[in-house]
Amino acid sequence: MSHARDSLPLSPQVFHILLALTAGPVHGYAIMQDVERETHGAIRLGPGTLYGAIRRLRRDGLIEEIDGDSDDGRRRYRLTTTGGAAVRREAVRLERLVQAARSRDLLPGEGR
Amino acid sequence: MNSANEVTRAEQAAFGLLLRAWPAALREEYASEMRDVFACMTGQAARGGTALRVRVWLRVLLDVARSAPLERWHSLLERTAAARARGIPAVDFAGALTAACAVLVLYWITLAPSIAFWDAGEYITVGHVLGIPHPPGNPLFVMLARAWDVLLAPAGWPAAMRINLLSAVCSAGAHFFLFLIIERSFRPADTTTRRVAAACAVALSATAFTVWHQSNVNEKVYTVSFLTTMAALWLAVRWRDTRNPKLLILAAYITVLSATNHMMGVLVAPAVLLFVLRVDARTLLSRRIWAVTLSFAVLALSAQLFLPIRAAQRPVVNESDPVCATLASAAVSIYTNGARGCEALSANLTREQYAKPSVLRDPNAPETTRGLTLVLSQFVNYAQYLDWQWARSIAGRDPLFGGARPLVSLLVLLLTIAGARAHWRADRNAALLHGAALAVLSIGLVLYLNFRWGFSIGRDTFADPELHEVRERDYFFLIGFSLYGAWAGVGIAALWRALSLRVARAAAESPLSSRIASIATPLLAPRIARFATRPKLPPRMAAAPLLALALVPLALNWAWASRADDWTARDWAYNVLMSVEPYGVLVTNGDNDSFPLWYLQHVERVREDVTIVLSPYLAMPSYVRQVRDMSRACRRHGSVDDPTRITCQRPFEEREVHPRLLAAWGGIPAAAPDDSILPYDDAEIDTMAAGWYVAPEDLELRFDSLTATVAKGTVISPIDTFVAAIVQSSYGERPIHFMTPSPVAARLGLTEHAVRVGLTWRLRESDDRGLIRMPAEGQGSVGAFVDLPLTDTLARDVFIVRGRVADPHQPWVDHANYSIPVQYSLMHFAAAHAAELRGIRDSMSWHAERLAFWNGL
Repeated sequence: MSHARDSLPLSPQVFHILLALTAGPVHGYAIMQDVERETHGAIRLGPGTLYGAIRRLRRDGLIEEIDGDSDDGRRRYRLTTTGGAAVRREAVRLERLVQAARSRDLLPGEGR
Repeated sequence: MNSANEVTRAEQAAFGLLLRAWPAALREEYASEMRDVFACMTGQAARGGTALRVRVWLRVLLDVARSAPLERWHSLLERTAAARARGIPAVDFAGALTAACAVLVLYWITLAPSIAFWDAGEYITVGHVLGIPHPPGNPLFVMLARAWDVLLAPAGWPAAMRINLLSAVCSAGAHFFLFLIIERSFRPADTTTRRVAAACAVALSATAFTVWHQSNVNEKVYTVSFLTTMAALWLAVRWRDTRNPKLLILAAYITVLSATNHMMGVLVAPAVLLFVLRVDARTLLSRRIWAVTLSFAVLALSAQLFLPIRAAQRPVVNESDPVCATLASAAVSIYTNGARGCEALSANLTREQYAKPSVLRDPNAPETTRGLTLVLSQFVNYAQYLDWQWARSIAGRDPLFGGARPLVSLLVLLLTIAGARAHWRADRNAALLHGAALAVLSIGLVLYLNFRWGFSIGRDTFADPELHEVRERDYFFLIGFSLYGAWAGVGIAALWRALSLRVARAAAESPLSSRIASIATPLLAPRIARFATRPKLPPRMAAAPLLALALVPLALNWAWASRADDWTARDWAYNVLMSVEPYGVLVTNGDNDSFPLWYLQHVERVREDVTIVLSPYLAMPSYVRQVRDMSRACRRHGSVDDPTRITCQRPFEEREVHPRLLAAWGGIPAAAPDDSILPYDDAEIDTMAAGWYVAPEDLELRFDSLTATVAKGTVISPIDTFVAAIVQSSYGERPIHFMTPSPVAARLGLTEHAVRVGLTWRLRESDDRGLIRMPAEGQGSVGAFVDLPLTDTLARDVFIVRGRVADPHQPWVDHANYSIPVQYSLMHFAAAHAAELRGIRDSMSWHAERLAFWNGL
């Protein structure tokens, strides 16, 4: 199992997948919908991209499958402690980037 | 799931197929979930109408295109890591790819921009038009070449260049596998040692003269065999590491598939079988492996079905015409290797028309046993070709062990022995595999091919050309030369390693400068010492100059192996076709005066109005019928649309011809001739094809206003009969040209009516004016008359002579087709002589100058 720091920086797709799991365990299609909604359609995952990422995230210990199928027969996934730490660290990293950009007046409508 | 109900079965099936794009590991774990997600996406889209559904499909397809290659790459990395964890050596794909790319760059730089002589025109033409080349028909090559031709069409390169690149890519691919084989053999040595050994092996193999010279033009189909042979060898080596039987089955499949290209590719099988026997003989006892292999072999051989299927569509090049009544009879032919089934296809597969005698018989006298002298001469012939491989430019004009070339060959022989020894010590089974393949593809081939006397061997003792091969045959040994060179490369690497170890050992014992002087051989001492005495120079670097030996063939073969800027064959074809007047018939003699013309007509579509009659092929009734049909009048509009198939007489296109030539012709026919040049039905052709005669006395033949005499005792073959029939039906209707000198014209007594027109003879016509008669003693070579204005216009304004052949510093590489420059010489000689007779000084001196140029090649 990898350390949270080993995974950083996360790709936008992986970050949003982990973000979708912060609300609790969900199945693949729900992750897909959540990512699309949260990114306003900027990131649209297809089945190959989604499950390729899920497979690697499980292998790296960032997410895990919940034992036993859900009521609708779908496999559900949740964040591990490492995964939670990774998404938090990535969020902090992104926030610092945003702050740096803001300090240089790069963000629209936020001039000093 | 509700949404799944709204996915049609067709969509489910289509997505099921798409799933195959992702690696098995991902599918095994997530296929059902991916199907579920797809069903949800489609189900939701179904409620939004067709447009939304299409968008979902586009999204899925985009996802496949984006994620499938990525997932496959991840999967490969995972498998490699897992294999390494199990102790299976990793494969050095990066090193092999680098080596293959370097080889490809070399072949690209020296690539022929167009066709070459011999079979290049034929194979490139059939690759472009999906035709059928001479037996055994090489269906795999034709299909590959056509697919490649279409694939590279957007590049805008000429078709010949595209198909030449196929040859280069196949050879580069073969060197990819050669690198892997050698690199694997030297494990567990360190990475540098392994890579140096493999790189040297690739360098020597790729720059061996025949390998190089066959890889930068598509003259034959052997580069495809080369690729499959090396792939099969590597798969065997890899099977030893992984013990995955699928690799052996794949090797078998590739080998059998290669048989549909040429039987050359099958010759790797004994070496692989020996290897498997030594490594794990029990594998050969597995019924399952044999059953699966057999199924794949049946599938691979089905590629031969291309022959009867395409032949039935009557392509413009359809040698041996292997048409079958039914596909079932074709299949019987294929799977019994020609013993039963469709007669035409069986004859093609067994190469019946060549009537090759048994390996126990003398090919020059099949009634006698193959003698020791002949066998020895065949091995001398092989040694001659081996001597060409490493320093072709040394005394290049002397084909038989010329100048200091044998010394280089001797050096390479010693390196090969050293390489074989090093290979044996590093990996006995791999060395045995390599050696067995080399033995079969050199000694075995010499014994099997059973050649006549070599083209350039024993010419003084056996003056009759019929006793010799018609050309040099080094190309048959291409794969063997590669394996031989690979061992020589390994020998160089072994020497380098030995030297660097000695340098290192000496470095630990005594001061550097004296150490080097004491260990280096007298020959290398000064240079090595100079390198090694630099501060902190590692021993391997100190010994590295030795590796420059691997570049010797590159340097000493370049001038002879490069085909860059070589337009000679293409321009020769152009010049010949332009020598023929509109709707003319051109009777040719063989490969070099026919195949380049096929290329120009069927690929570049130049002067398609000229009917080419390849006289030796007139012995085959199927070819006679093709000539008949190609020259018959077109009965319906648009019937000549498909340029790849035989339809009817193709039109003369005025725009293809230089205005001065049009003027010199003094007018062109208003329409194509009405009749075929062979107005006979199939039964009549079959009857004519069966007749051989000996002229009991001088026979007088009358062709309209022309009278010819066949000398008493002349053997009249069906070829002569058909040419006489063509002259009979077409004289006065179409200009009748012959390539010179023409044996068939001589037998029919037509030489005395031959008028030199450019590079051809034309039969004198009743309205010919102003011809210049040549002296009687030269008529057999230059023609009885010369049409000076026409020949002058052709030679000065129309003919193209450019690139390599126009450079007096470049050698004429193939002495077996030296008849080509001789043809140019004869034309200029005739024109210069005619101009002299007429007192036209500037024309005489111009042709004399050109004569000197061609004579000097």
